[in-house]
Amino acid sequence: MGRGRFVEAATYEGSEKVSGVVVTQEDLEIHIVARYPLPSPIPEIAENIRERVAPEAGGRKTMVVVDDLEVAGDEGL
Amino acid sequence: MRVFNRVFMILLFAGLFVLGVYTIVFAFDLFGYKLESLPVTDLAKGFKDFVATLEKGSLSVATQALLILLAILGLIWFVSELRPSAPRRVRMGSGTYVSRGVIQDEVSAVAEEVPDVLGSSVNVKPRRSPGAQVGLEARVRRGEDLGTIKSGLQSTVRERLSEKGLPVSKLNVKLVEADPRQTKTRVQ
Repeated sequence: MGRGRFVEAATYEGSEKVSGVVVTQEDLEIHIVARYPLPSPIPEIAENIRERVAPEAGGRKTMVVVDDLEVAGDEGL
Repeated sequence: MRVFNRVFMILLFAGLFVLGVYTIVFAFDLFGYKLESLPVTDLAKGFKDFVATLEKGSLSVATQALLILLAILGLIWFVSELRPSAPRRVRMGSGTYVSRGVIQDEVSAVAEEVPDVLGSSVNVKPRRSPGAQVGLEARVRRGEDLGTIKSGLQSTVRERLSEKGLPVSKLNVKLVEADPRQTKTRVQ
């Protein structure tokens, strides 16, 4: 999951924090990091995620944001 | 405009707060200050005189210029408030976005793979429609064939980005002749 530019992509509920997902009354934002080698073009990956998540979003407008691209093995950098 | 508005509102509220404190102090005759001691009548007379001059149409050139300047500034502010703010992310499709950094990194990586390019800087501007406006400044050695490098660079960047599906609606390439000793890489 991505965390946004300023690590702002998170949802706080009670004492729990879920990184990479921003849930509001109307919107649902999912932040992802794609990893090379890409299985398909980036818009297709994002659209697949959106199609899968949208039915579970409870009528919220669903958005998928690609925050970064990384090469396998770079996750810790 | 957001920062300007914020600063303006902070100053406005600070002014109103100070004015409120003075009003309370003067209204309740605190610390020896009295409402009657304020030069309100002089102020009102000055304002009345100004309006009378305005009605007669006999304003000085400096006052007219100042009023016109204020009107123009107000108009500029009004128009800039009406303009919707620029999007933060690059739109790919319906509900799918990519951050500016992704496009920036990709364009920079592709440009620096081109043998003639010694360094690059990339500026990405998201558009309201899908795609981004990309400005690529590439540094090359002096005396190179700029036309060939530019067209080659443009097609390579477009090709590689479209392979990954990264939307670029406009790509501006600018070549800058630079001293290899001052660039990121000296030899490719």
